[in-house]
Amino acid sequence: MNRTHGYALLGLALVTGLTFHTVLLPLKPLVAQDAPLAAAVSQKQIFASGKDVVWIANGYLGSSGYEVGYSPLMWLTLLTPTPLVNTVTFVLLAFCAGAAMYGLGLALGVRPLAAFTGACALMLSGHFITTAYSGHTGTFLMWPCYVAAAGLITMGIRRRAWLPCVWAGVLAGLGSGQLDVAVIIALFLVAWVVYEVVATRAQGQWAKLLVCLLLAAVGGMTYSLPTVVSLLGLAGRAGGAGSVAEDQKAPDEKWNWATQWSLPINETLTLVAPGFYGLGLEPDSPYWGRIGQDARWPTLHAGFPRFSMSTQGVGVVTVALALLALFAAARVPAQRGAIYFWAWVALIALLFAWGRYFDVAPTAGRGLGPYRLFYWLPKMDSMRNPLKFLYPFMLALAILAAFGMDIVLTMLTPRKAAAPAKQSAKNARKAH
Amino acid sequence: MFATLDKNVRRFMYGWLALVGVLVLIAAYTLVGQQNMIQRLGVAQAEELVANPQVQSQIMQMRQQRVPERQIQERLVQAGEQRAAVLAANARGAALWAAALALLTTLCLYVIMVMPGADAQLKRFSAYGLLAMLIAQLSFVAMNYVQVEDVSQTLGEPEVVQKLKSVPAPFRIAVLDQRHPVYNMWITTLFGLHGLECMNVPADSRPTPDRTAFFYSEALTPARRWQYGNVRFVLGTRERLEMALRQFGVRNQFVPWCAYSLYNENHAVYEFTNALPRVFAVGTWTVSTNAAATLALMNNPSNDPHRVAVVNDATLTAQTDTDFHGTVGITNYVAERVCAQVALSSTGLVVMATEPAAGWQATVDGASAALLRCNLLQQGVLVPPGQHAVVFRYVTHSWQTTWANWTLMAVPVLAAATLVLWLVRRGSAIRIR
Repeated sequence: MNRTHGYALLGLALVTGLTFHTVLLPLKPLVAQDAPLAAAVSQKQIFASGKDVVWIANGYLGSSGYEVGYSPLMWLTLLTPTPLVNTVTFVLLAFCAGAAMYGLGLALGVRPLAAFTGACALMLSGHFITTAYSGHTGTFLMWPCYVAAAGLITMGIRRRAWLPCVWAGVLAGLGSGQLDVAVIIALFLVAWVVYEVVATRAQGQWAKLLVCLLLAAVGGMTYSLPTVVSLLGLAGRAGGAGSVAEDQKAPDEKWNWATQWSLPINETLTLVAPGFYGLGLEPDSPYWGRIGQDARWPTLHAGFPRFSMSTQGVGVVTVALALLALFAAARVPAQRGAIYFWAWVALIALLFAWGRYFDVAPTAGRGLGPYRLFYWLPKMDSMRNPLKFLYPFMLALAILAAFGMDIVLTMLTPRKAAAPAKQSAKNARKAH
Repeated sequence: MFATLDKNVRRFMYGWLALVGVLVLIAAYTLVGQQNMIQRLGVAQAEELVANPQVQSQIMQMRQQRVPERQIQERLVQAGEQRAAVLAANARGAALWAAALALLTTLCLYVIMVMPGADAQLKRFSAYGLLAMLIAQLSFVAMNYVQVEDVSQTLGEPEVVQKLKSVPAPFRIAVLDQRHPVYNMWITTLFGLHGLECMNVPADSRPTPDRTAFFYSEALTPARRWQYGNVRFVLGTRERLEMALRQFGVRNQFVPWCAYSLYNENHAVYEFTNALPRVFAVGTWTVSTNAAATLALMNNPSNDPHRVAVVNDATLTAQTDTDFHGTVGITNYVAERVCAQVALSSTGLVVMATEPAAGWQATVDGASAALLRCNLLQQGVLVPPGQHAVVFRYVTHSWQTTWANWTLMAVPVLAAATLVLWLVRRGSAIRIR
C-alpha cells in the first residue's frame, strides 16, 4: 500500500514536471506577473539589513508600511537563488496541491488510482494552475493548505482522531492569508464538517468528536487570527490614520465594482474547452470574452472591455467522470451522500461564480440573483470577484472526478467489487 | 444500445452523449461558420480599437494628415478583422480539441461500460486512457502559461534608471503612459528594485477614498498632482510628453533632462522645475476638514503650494504670514526616517510629502511633536522660529505580527511532536502485533 502511495506521489511529480518542463529542464526563471523577482530581491535585502519596520516609498506618496515578520514562504525565498524563486515556489506548491488532493481522495475512501485522478484534476484545473502566470503566490499557498485541511478534517471526524483535526485547523489558518478566497472556501469546508458529523453520527463517541472539533477550531483560530482581525477591519481602525474623503460610491457602482470579474454564462464552455475565448496571453491568444468587463463598457466604452490572464478549464474528462459519479452514485451507497454533497457544492459555486451574469438586473445596485445572497452578507460587499467561487467549484469537481474514476474502477472488476458494494450498502443501512 | 446498463448509468450515457453532441456542433460551427465569426468579432474588435488611447492618437494624426474618413474606417475594420481571425482560429482549435477528447472519452466509457466482450485488460487500458486524456488536455493548456522570464529585463538596470539613481534622493518620478508595456514592467519591478520612488502604481483594485480623490479623480490636474507629489522627473515618449505638457499648460515648467530609445521609439525624461521638495516649510495655512474643499483649494491656480498648505485639523487656527521665510535641508534620508535641518523666520509648518499612516511620528529637536494631516495626503508638524532638527520616523508594532511570528515558529515544533507521537504509536502497534 505504501508503495502505491509512493508511485502516486511520483506520478504527481511527473505531471508537475511535465507541466512546468519549460522552466525545469534546465532550471529557468518563471514569469509570475504579480510576484516580481524584484520583490524577492527586496525581501532578501530587508532580511540582510536587519530592519524591523519597512515603509514602502514606491507607489503613490508612499504606499504602506509594515513590521517585518515571518511568512510561510519566507525561508523558501531566502534560500533560493533570486531568479529561481518563482520557479521553485510555484512548482513546489502545485505539487503540494496535488499531493493534498490525493490525501483528500484517500480520506474520502476512494481507490489510490481514483484519488490520483482527482489530484490531477485539481492540480491542473485552469483557474488554479494558470494563475502561476499571474503570479498569485497567495492562492498557490492557500490551495494545498485548504485541500489538505479538508482531507485531515475528514479523516479526523471519521476516525474520531484529534491529531488530524489539529493539523486541519493549523493548515486552514496558514492558508487564510489569501483572505477572500480563503473565506469562500472556509464556508464550504464548514458545511462539509457539518455534513460529515451528521453522516458519521452512528459512530457516536460524541465527547471525543467534540474535542476533535474544538481542537480544529482552536488551531484554525490561532493561525488565522491576524487575518480574521484584518477581515473585521479592527486593524484598520486601530491604525488611526483613516481617510478624510468619503467613499461616495453609489449602490450600482459598488455592485458593478464587486462583480466585475464574473463568469459569463456562455463562457462556462471554457470549462470543457479551455482557450475557446482565448487564453488571455498576448499576442498569440488574446482573451475576447467578458470576464473583467466594466459595466460602463458596453454603453460608454469606459473602463476595461475585458481582463483575464488565465483560463477556467477543468477538462472534458473531469466533467465526464464527475457526471458519472453523480448519476451512478446509487451504485456506491457508502459514498452517495458525499457525492451529492459535492455535487451541490459544484452547483452552488457555479451559480455564484456567474455573479452579475445570472441576475435579473446585472448592472443595477438592486436585483435578484444567487450572488446577491453572498453580496448581502456583512462585509462581503467589499469582496470583489465572483469568479473566486470557481475554487470551491474546482475542488468539488475534482472530488467528484475521483468518485467517478472509483466507479469506473468498480466496473473493471465487477465480481470483486460486488462484495464491498454490498458490505457498504449494509453499513449505510446500519448507519441510518 | 445501452439496454444492458443499469438505469443510472444509462441516464449518464444519454446525458453525456448530449453534451458531446453540443461540443461537436460548436466545433462544427467554428469550422463552417468561420467567416461569419470573423466578421462578427471584427466589428467588435474595431469598436474596441477606437477606444484605445494609442489608436486614438494615431487616428488624430491621420486626420491631421487629411487622410479621408472612409479610409480611416476601412483601416480600422481591417485591423479588427485581422485580430478577429486570430481569435477565431484559437476558438476553433480549442473547440476541435475539446470535441475530439469528448469523442475519445465516449469511446473509453463505451469500452468500459457497454462494449460486449471487452476483456478486463482492454477496459483497464480505457480507464488509463481517461486519466491520460485528463492530464493531456489540462497540462497542455497549462504549459502555455509557463513562460521563461527574461531577467535581463526584469532585474536589469537600463541607462535611464542608472541616470535617475545618480540624482540625490529623495524625489519621485512619474510615468505619463503606464499602459506602455515597458513602463508597466518598470513600474511593477525595476523602479522598486533600484530604490526609485514612482508615483504610479501598476494596479490598485481597492484605492482608499483619499487616494481615489487625489490620484484618480479630476479634482487635481496631473501637473498639480505631480507638484504636490514631489515628482521631479516625468518619463514618456517625447511626442506624448510634449503634447500632454502643452495641453496641461505647464510646458514652461519642464525642461528636457535626458533622452533614450525604447523599441525604436523616442522617449525622454523631463524635469519638473516647480515640484515641491520632499520636505518644505510654509508660513501660511488654511484649515479644511472636507476632502473636496481641500482639493479645490489645492487645485486653485492662484494657490502657491510652496507658500500655502491646507491643514485637515479643525483645532488648528489658520495662519497667514506673507513675510515668512524658511529653509529646509534634508540631512539624512531613508524611507523610514527623514531628518531635516530647518531655519524659519517665524512659526511655520514643516510638511513632508509622504502619505499619513499609523506609525509615522515626528520630533522637533528630539521632542515629540504632533503630526498634522496636510494637503490631503501629506503630513506636517508645527515648528517654532529659529533653527531646528525635525525628524519624521516610521515606527510600527502590531500584536498581529508578533502573534503570526510565534505561531509560525511553532509549526516545526508541532510537526516534530506529531512525528514523535506517530513513531511511538507505530512502535506500540508493532509490539502488540
